[in-house]
Amino acid sequence: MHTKEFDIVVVGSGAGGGAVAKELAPLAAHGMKIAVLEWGPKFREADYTGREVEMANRLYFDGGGFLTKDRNMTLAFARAYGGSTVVYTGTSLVIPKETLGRWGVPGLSWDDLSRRSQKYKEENNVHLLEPDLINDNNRLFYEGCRQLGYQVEQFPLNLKGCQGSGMCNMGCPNAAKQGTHRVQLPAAEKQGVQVITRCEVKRIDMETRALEAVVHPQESVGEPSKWAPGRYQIKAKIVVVAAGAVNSPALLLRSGLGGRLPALGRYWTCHPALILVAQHDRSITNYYGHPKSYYCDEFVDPDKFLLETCMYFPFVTAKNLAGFGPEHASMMKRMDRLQMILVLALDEALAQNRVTIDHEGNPVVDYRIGDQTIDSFVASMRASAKIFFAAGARRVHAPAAKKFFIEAEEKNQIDALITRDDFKLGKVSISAAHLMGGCRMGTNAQDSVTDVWGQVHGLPWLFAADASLFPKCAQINPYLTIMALADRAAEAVRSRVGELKTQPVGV
Amino acid sequence: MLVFSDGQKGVLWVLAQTIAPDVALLTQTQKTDFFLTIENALSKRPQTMQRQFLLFLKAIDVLSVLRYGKSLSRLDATGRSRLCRWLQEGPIGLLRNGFWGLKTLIFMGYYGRTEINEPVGYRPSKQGNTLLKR
Ligand SMILES: Cc1cc2nc3c(=O)[nH]c(=O)nc-3n(C[C@H](O)[C@H](O)[C@H](O)COP(=O)(O)OP(=O)(O)OC[C@H]3O[C@@H](n4cnc5c(N)ncnc54)[C@H](O)[C@@H]3O)c2cc1C
Repeated sequence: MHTKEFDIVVVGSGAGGGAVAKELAPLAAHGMKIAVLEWGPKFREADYTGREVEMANRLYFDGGGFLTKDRNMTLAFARAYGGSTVVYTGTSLVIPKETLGRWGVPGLSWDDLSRRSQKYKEENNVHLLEPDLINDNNRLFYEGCRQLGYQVEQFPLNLKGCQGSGMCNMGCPNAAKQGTHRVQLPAAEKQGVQVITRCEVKRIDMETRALEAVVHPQESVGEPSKWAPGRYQIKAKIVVVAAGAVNSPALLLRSGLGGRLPALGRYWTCHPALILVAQHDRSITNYYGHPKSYYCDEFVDPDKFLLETCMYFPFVTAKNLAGFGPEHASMMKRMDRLQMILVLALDEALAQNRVTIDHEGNPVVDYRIGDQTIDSFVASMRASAKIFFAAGARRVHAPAAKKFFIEAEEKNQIDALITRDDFKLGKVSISAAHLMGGCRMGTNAQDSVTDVWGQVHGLPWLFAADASLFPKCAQINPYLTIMALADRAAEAVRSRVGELKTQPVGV
Repeated sequence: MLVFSDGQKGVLWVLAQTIAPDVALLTQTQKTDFFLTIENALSKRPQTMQRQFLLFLKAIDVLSVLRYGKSLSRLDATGRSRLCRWLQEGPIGLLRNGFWGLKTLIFMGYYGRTEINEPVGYRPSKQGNTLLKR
């Protein structure tokens, strides 16, 4: 067993961990010992091959197909230097004021979050794509929405030198997307923060504040870890957990906090998603160019869903069509004719939806797709079918339709052809990539895990600083809000620096 | 590492032809690779899940006999398709989930192959923007 000592240890290097690392970096420049422990490797540019299954296995937990307990949904989240920011699409939205009002967390103001989000927008070079870089898949969505009178907005994106590979979700092969692996982590390392990759934290000892970790052996891809493979005990004065909405609660549960914090792991949300596909009569530009330029928030109230443009790769597309056989194959044969819409259901934060751990300490996500989400999905399929047809699609595939294809001639029967009775869990591919909650912030230890600054109730040395802090779902793409919340946690940690100086490492 | 027996491969191949008919176009080497991709994907999952998958393959054969009086390999294409549709849409959630998993693995084995890109009209380029500005 190797031993190490640090003043501050951050677990995880995604949107939350990366932001914390950079915000604390000036302390490292002034002599404090700060480490980020990251389970995944740091990928080299040549590792981003653009090959779908290979990249999914390299970048994602369970190859992108982490199953919920009832197996009705898969979750996508990454394991890498940069966490899920390596695979995100880079849409950069500030949380709406109404959403924050709905969160209702005393002491958390929209002005504060939007100011911090603005800082990361600037750091990450967020801007609107020029019109000539918007492909047909996106343009048709915009036109379809406008024709139907639906509200549609352009996404601000965090790109620098985007070449339009469309491969964002496999890791950008052109180093264009400004995730924490490109911006915050290198900046933190420059100032002396150590980022230790391939380092999986198993548990935190609540008495001694020591972390138990394993550094995994070098694999064929990615840079080697700075530490030799083996078991480690890492002592720290302050620990910031930023392992994501699945792994942060799991780590704290493994560390024995479940008993004193009944909300730990609970109120978990994820914007359950559907990928909807239509076919045009002709080739359109869809997989060239940035995949995600527009969103439609017309249906947030009362139907509780968002629509976004998207474009996926052959295997992901194939598995998202409900059905099989010749019709499925005929849809798949013309990837160059496909238009796609991503549906995000805005799910309620319910105590029973939660992260638990199995007998080996691995996370289990016990999440039930509720009736409200199914209603949202059915309404979203109808709305999307209308948008596709308004955009000139020849035929539409809706996973809860009476038949595989709805033809353009049948566009007036959409509501009759897509029904709730035909929506069957298990048949319809449901996935989620906006994982939130599990260490929700709040005012007391009965129904929340941390205070409004991310400090775990009753433990002044332990913080959470990632998507697990969300008390309810974000209702938008969440990464900027995660960074803003992590920024607050970093501020709270900085305010403890005076105490740190006089404290011994470990207890 | 999970390795399918010849019998398991046989059942899986019959199902693959029903679910993704174009697998019939794969060469012998590609077919070997198709099974390898699925074996690899399953090997990364917990043992219980691997066992459940193999059990599900067996169950499909038994269900085929129970519902249609014939084993899967003796069912004609329409019968196989009907059986798969029942698994996908039927009243038993567990079977629907199992079928989804099976289908996903078959699609991974077929559509996850880079040489399938061209035939399905997918020609990715790292410099997509240059192709966008026609
Ligand atoms: C395909 C995809 C597309 C997305 N697109 C967008 C988008 O366009 N806009 C947007 O706003 N959001 C998007 N998101 C969501 C966004 O990426 C996440 O919400 C965000 O990255 C979560 O930040 P996080 O810090 O909570 O976790 P992550 O970014 O997931 O980081 C957690 C890190 O912790 C590490 N870790 C976990 N457990 C341990 C452990 N025990 N020890 C050490 N390290 C550990 C993991 O390896 C990981 O690197 C997308 C997500 C995906 C998957």
